[in-house]
Amino acid sequence: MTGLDRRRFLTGAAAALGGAAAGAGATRLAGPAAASPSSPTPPERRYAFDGPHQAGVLTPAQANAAFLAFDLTTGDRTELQELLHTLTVRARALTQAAVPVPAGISAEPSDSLLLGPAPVSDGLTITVGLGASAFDHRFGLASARPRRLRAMDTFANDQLDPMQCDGDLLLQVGADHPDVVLHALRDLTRHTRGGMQVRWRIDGFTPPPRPAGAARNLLGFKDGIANPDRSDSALMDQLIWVQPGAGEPTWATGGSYQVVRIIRMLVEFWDRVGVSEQERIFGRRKDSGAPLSGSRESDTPDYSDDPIGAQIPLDSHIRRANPRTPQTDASRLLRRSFSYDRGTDRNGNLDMGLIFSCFQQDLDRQFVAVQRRLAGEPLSDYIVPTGGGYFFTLPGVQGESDHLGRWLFS
Amino acid sequence: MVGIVLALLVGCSPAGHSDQPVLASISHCGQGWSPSSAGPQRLLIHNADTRPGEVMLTGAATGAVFGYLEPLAAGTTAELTADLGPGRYRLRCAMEDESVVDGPVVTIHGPAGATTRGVIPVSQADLIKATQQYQAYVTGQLPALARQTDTLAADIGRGDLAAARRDWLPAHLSYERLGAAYGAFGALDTVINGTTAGLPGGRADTHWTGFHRLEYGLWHGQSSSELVGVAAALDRAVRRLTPTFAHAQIKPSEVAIRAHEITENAIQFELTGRTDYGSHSNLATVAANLAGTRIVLGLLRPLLAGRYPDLARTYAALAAAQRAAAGPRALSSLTRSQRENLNARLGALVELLAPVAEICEPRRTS
Repeated sequence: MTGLDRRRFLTGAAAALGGAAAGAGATRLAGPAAASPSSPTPPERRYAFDGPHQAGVLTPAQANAAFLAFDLTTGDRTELQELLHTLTVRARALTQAAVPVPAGISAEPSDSLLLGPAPVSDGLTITVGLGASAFDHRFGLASARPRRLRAMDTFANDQLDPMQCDGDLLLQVGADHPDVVLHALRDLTRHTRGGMQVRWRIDGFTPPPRPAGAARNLLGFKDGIANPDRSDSALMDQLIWVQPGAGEPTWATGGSYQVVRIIRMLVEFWDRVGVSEQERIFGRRKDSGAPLSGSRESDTPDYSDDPIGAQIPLDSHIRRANPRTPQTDASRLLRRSFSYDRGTDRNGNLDMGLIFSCFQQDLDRQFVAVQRRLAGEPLSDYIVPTGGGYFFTLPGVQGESDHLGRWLFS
Repeated sequence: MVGIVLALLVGCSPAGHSDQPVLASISHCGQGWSPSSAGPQRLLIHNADTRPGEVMLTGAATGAVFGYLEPLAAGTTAELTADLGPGRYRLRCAMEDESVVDGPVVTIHGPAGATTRGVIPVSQADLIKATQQYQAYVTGQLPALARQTDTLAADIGRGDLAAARRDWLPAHLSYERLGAAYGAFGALDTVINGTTAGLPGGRADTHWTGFHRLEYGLWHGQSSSELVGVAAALDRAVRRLTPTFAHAQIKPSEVAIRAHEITENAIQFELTGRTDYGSHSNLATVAANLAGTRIVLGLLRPLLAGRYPDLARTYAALAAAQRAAAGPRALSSLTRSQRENLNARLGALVELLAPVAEICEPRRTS
C-alpha cells in the first residue's frame, strides 16, 4: 500500500466514524454523519417525513422495496391508536436517521446496528396504508371507512391466493440499499409485535436503466414511461390526493388509494414469443421503449390517425391502459411498481414478476376503470395476478404531536 | 491501529470538549471525564491498566448502572453510551483480580428527560438464591415425571398402545414445564427429548431416542415390540435426572437467561410445528413452556421489582400468551386470526422478557 493510498484509506475511515465518535471523552451526540467531500460513499438521499402527504407516493421508486401486509392483533381502538403512534415515531426516526438512544441495561438494545453506529437515511421511505378490514367492527371505525375502500376485486385473469391478499395494514418500505430496507423492517416489527402480524410479504427491486430511460420490467420492456408528472402539484391534486368535499371522510383528505398487485410473469413462455409479437402486445419497441408510432421512448403515442390500430394495435397494453382521450384523462394513475424474484415453482419455472403498485384519488374512477379496459388484452396470457390488496394511504404527519391516522380517531 | 484511530477521532472532536479518552484503570479510573450537559453521552473508554476489566457508568449516590462495558482488554478502547439526566455520576472500574475502584464524581447539569434508566446491580449472592430455589423446584418435580414415564413404559410393555398414546402427553408436558433446566440436564436432555435434527438417518435413525421417538412410533402405527425398548430407555434416562441434577452446577446467570429463552424455544420449535412427530400437541407444549416461564419469572421477581419498569406489563403479556395457548387444540386447527393472535401474544411476551437476562446479570460491586 503506498503512502497516498494509506492516507486516503484513513481519511475514509475517519469520515465513516465521524458520527459515531464526535469527539473523544464525553460529548453530546452529534447529528448523523454528514457525507464529507472525501467520503468514499456518495451523499445520501433523505426524504422529509413530516408533511401534508406521506413520502413514498410521489417519491421516485428506490432501488429496493418491501411490501408487508399485516393483520391487526390489537385489542381495541386505543391500542390501534397507540400502534399507529409507535409506527409514526419509529418511521420518523428511521427515515431521518436518528441516532439510536442508548438503552442502558434495563432494556433491549435500541438498535440492531445492522447499519453500523452512524445511522443512514439512504432514501428510506416508510408508507402506511389501511385496508378495508381495519374498518370492520373491531375498532369502531366502520363509519370512517374511505368510501371506495374494499377487499381487492377479482378480475378476469386473476388466480388469487387468499393467503397473499388484502390485510388490515400495509407497510411499504423503500430504500436505495436492501440492508436499509431490512433494518427498517426489523425495527418496525420489533416495536409492534403484539399489535400486528405479517399476513403476506413481497420484496421488490428497481433495476438500473438499461441503457437509459425508464427501468425495464422482467418481460424486458421499459415500464412506467407514461406516468403523470409528479412535480405538477395541481395535477397531483386532481389525480392522486383525496380532496375535501369529494364525498370522502374529512380525515382522508391528503391521503390516496394504493393498489398493490402481485403479478407473476410467465417468463419461460414469454421468452419463446417473437419480439415483434411481444412489441405488438405492449405497443412499444422492446429495445428503445418507443411507442410503435414513434422512434424514441419519450415520444407520445398518437392514436388520433390510427383508428384501426395499424400502428399501435387496439388491444395493445399501452393503448388499452391509456387511450389518451379526453374521456379517459381522469383515469390516469401514478404507477410505482417494482420487480420481484422469489425462487422457483414446482414445475421448475422461475417465480418472478411485477409488484404492480399505483396511487390514485379514486379507486373506481382510476385503477378499476383501467383494469376493465385491460380485460382480455393479449398480455394476459403471459401474466398471472396472484395476490395484493387495496389500501388507503393515510394522510401525512405534521409535526411531533401528530401521528399517522390521528384524525381517524377524532 | 488503536492509536491511529484515536488520533483521528481527536481530530474530529468539536471545540470545547475534552479531547482525551476517559481512562479505566486501578490508579486513574474515570480520569479525563469532564462535566457536560444532560443528554446522550458518548464516552471513549481506554483501558490504561495492565489487566482486563469491567467498566460501569454509575450513579454516584446509588451505584445504579447506566452503562456497561465488559470485557475491556488492557490497552484497548471502546465506546460507552448513555442518555443521562442531570445528576452526579462516576465511572466504576472493576479490573480483574482487584477490588472495585470508583472514579471522581462528575456532575451533569441540564434539563431532565433523559432516557437511560439506572439499574441497581444484582449481586451474585442475589442470583444464587434464585438459582437454589429453582433447583429445589425442579428436584421436587422429578419424582412425578418418573412415575409418568414409568406408566408409559408399562403401557407399552403390556401392549396397550391406546393407553400409551393417552399417557404420553402428560409425561411430555411435565418435562416441558421444567423449561429452564435443560442446560443442567446436559446430554440427558437429548436422550429424553431429542428431535431428528442432526441425525443423518432422520426418522429412521437408530440414535433417535426419547419422547419424540416414542411419539413418532405411537402415532405412526409402530408396534409395541418396536417401542418397548424406546419406552424403557426413556424411563431409565428420566430416572437418571435426579442424581445428575443433584450434582449439576447451574450458573446463576442461566436462570435469568432462560426467562426469555424458554419462550424463544417455544416460538422456534413449537409454534413452527417442527417438533410435531404425530401427536399434534405443540400448542399444549407451548402452554407448558409458558407455565415454566412463569415459575422462573416468579423466582426472579424480587430482583426485578424496582429494576425492571415493564415488569407489570411482562406479567400481563404472559397471562395473555397463556390465554392464547390454552385449550387442547392442534396448531393446524387454529383459524388464521387465532394463529395471528397466538403469534402476536408470544412475540409481544418475548420482547418484554428479553431485558430480564441483562438486568439480572451479576455485576461486581466490590
